Amino acid sequence: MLVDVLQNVVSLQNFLLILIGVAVGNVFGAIPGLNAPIAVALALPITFTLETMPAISLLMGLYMGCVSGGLVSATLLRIPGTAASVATTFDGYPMAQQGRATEALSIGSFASLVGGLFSFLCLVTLAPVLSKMAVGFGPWEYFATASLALVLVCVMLRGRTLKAFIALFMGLLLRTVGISPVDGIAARYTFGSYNMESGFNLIVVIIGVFALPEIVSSIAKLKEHVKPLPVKPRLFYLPAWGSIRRNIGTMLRGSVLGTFIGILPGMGGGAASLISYAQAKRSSKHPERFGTGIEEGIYSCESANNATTGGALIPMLALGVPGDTVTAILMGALALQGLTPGPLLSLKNETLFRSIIYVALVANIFMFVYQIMTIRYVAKVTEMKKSYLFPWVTVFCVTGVISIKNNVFDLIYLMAFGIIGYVLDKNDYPISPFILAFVLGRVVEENLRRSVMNYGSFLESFSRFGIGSIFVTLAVVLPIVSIVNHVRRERTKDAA
Amino acid sequence: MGEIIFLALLAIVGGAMFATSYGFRVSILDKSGGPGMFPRIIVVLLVVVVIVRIVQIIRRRELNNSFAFLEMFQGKRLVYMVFTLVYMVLLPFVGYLLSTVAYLLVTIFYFYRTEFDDGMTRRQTVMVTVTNIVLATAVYLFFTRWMNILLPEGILGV
Repeated sequence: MLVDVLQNVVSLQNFLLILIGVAVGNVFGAIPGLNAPIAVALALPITFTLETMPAISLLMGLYMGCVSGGLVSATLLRIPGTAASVATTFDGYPMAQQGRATEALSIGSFASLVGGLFSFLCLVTLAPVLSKMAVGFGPWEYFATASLALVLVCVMLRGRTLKAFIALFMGLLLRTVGISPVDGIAARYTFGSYNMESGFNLIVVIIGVFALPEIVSSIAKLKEHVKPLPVKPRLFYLPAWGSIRRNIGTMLRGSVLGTFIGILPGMGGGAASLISYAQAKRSSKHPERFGTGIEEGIYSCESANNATTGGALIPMLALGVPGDTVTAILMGALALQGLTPGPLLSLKNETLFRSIIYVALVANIFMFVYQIMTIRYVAKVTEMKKSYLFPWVTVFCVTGVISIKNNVFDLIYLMAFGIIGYVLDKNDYPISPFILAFVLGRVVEENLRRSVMNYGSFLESFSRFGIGSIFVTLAVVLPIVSIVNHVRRERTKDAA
Repeated sequence: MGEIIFLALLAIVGGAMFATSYGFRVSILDKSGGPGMFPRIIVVLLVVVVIVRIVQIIRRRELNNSFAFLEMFQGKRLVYMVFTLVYMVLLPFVGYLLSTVAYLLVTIFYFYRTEFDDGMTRRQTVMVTVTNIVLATAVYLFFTRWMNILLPEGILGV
């Protein structure tokens, strides 16, 4: 098995594509407004013509590169390129201001590697076990798992749960446009348009919702220029051994937290790094030094945010449920290759299943080597003029969309989803439930209808006690618990 | 108030989708609730959360909170939106390469003037023009020749 996996993974083309992915991803991660979902979504049309492993190599390289790329702008400019790097600014930027920019960047790169390797170990041990458990899943269990994943995304967004549910239902409703699943006889909400019959393309929706709103909102800040701090030229940038030894515990704790949070749908690197940072501060001997440029702060958040990558891949590969937006897009990429991530993938094509996991490991190692060698060059990207950047990002969005079907209609609803994304994002409505609704909407509907067909009714399906019924119960109970807790908090606040 | 209008619109659209769902064709053999069942469930859930949110807005006295929407169609953003829309509309007629080069140059020169309160020097203008033509051609060739992906050809065939 291992030989087959290695034959699949180890090839010059795959390694080259991982490296390209890491390099481009680092640029996307470093530029505020560009992030992993945009990078992966823009790369999707390119993967059309690639074989499965090269396509996965490119996307995995992009994913790892983006998550780590945010470190550079967070440390040098105090601008987190991605949400995952927000906590890095707390100590990375003060450290850079003290003239220790290279130290901060090398610490971040090393902690990212540790987080990535730890989550890989969890991925390689947990994903096959979970997927074997899920082999017996029928429509009812799939419906339950997908529904629970959607509910979890909303419930996890504390303080914005209600808005998350509104975004979720909007996404689910828009996902119903097109030919109905299961029977395939009803053209729903198409207004007689042939173009609408295939529904809204996931890639177009993702590019519209993520990329366009970022450009539109950043245009207002065209004149804001931040001068980056100088970086000492060197071939490699590695943290001192003493610093690594002192922070092994911090990195491990961050890795465990990051992996666990990555498994939970919708949480992502942003939440992981902030929670890990808060945890490191709470358990530190000198919490008062946090925020002043302390190395512990960078070790904690960078190990956590990179560990979420492996964590998010666990439910995607094992259950077919994406752990974050990028893995949701990766699922789309695999679907384009004719593959459905989930328990059956490990059963039918175990070599490919394990190959995907090992590609994640290689991407992590490449990302580390690339980053310690190019820290000072990547920093230059943050100096790129916005007047050049925005038009080019738009051109890439349009090119990505038009290349799918060479249909101008896709561009029209790209704009429409751009407006929807802007309204949601700027008014504090979370985007992740909206996107996950698009990814899982069909799974939920199709399996709900199949369950009703198999067992006669929803209640009959529910009365078959098993993992499916437990998940459905949780999907109903969790929002109620969340509402009760919210009301209690509000009352306590009012009383105070 | 803006958010309430947004939520009310959502509820109205949802209601229309609910009503339309009864007109979907249903197979005589169908035992799954039909193609309209799922949208109807979602609309009901959407309307419930929308009502709860409206009540929350009123109770928290958030009626006067600003709602981001109109600023998307004002000033520099409007110019960007118009440029992009024109680019998208012209794409199939003018062709990918020509429309992309035109879009890039117009947008870059406009943004540059806005970013630095001054236009480019003649040397910069030539450099930017040449670089963008070369890069746009490279992207076009990358997609069409290397990836074998079709891009709109337009009147001149590029």
